[in-house]
Amino acid sequence: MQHPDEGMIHSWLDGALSADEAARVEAHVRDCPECAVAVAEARGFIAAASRILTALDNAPRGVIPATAPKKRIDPIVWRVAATLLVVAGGTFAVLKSGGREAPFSVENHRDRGSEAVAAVAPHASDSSSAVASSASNNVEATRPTAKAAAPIKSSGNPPRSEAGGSAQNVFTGKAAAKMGAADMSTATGNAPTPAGPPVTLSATPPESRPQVNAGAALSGNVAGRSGYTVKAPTPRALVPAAGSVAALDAASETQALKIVSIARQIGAKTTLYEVAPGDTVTLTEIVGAQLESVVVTGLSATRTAAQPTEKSVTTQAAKGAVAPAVTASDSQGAAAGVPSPALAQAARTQTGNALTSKTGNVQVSNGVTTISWADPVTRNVMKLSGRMSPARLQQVKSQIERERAPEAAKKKP
Amino acid sequence: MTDVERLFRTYNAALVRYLTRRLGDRDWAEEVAQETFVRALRQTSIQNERAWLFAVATNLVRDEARKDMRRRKHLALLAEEERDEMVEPEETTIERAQEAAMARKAIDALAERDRLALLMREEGLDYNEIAEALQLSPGSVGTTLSRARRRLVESYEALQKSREEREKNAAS
Repeated sequence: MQHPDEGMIHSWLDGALSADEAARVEAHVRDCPECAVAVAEARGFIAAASRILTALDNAPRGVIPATAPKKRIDPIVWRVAATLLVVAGGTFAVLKSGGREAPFSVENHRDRGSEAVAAVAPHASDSSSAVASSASNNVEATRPTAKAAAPIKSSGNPPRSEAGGSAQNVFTGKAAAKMGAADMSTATGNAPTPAGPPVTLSATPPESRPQVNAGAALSGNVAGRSGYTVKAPTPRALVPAAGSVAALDAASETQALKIVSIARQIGAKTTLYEVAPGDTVTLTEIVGAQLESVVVTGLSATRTAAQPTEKSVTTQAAKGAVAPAVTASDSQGAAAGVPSPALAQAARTQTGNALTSKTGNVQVSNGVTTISWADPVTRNVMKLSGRMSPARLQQVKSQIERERAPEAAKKKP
Repeated sequence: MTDVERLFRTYNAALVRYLTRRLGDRDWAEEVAQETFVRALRQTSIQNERAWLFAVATNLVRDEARKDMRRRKHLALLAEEERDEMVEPEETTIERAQEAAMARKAIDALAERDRLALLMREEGLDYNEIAEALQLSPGSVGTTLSRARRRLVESYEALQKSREEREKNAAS
């Protein structure tokens, strides 16, 4: 027999050979000193290998993670990133609009899962609440506003919306500044130039309109499409406004104009309506007297100005996730004055006389049509502007007037 | 006792040892072993249990299939029992740790097929089972094993030698 090779020897030692083969190898190795050495060596390798392998049993636990971790970006990273994006966008919007605008949207923060904003900038909710409350006179900041504002924020594309290239605002500069980037993060359309598709108007008859009271700078009761309300009533308007909530909810099922935001600056209230998806018009209501333009932002203002109906106000605010009036800072409130209804009324009458045309004065520049007229009820100067034809804008104006009419009527002395 | 329990009790210790030697991590080894038994559950019939189990375990390691492994409570409990029965290795000394490190180095130096054949053989698989698990011809297993053993021992001895020399240099 030939000398068995190393593999054969190992096979023999491992008992892997057939009986015949094993017998032959055994016979050969007994007579062959060379192969006997090879067999001895093989035995040594087998034993040594076995011993070496035993050393491997001393393996520690957990050298390699028990579960292969898939690299995932921590959700917190996304949150922080989202927050930064939102804040940056908002800041940009503020800067672009010269910081005059005071868009408010509190729900926005919450609905869009932007708790991170609140977490990162703890003052955010407070100040945005202040915004909301000042904008709505401490009453209810509501979902429709937030909802409407949300798309704008998420698109991060403010140019389409317009929170009113309008001028004045019930906000003082201080208040607006105080709002900070976090509030502006809602980016509720501060773009000066609105751009959008033509307006489409719903043909809903006036009587089915929700009642909207946006008569005075300090009073506004706005119905959103989804039935939530943004109310900013003056003491005078509060009771009817509160009473009409149910009506608003019911009526809001109809195609009401969607209010994207309401902003107030000194002497004016700016309402951004969405007449069609992505298509907005701005209604600016200029209030005659500076007395009326005093900021009412704080809690103290709420207490004094809205005393008669504070109960309903706070209840509503507490019900919603947002409680702007409650969280509004006292310092702002302290700085703010409280409007005198009587004086305001006088002022309104004065300015209202200046513009009496029913159809209004139409101006077109840069594709933006602006209609000015005097509100028949409040006598406030109204300016409606949007990127659309004068005819369309007139239609929108009529629609807005229809929506405002019932509420305004209630205010009429 | 269900069939998978029998399989587990029969082969788990060997499979875990094989995998531990292969992977260098006991936890990972146990995880792979458990997944192997889970896979066995899905089989209607297995001709050669041991060859099948080692082959599947080997493939699981190779495919890094542990990513989709889920811990099975039942098997984990069984493993716990098993562990309790096992005699824990004596306290690891520095000497032992060094030996383990050299053994790891030596085994890692082998070709994959040689390493697996050797590790399987150490767990008692016969040549036919190794051939089946590694898809080799039965006739080549002896050659594979003899080569693997020689290389392992030679590598290990070389490492040992260089270590001794280092220690000698350090002492002088």
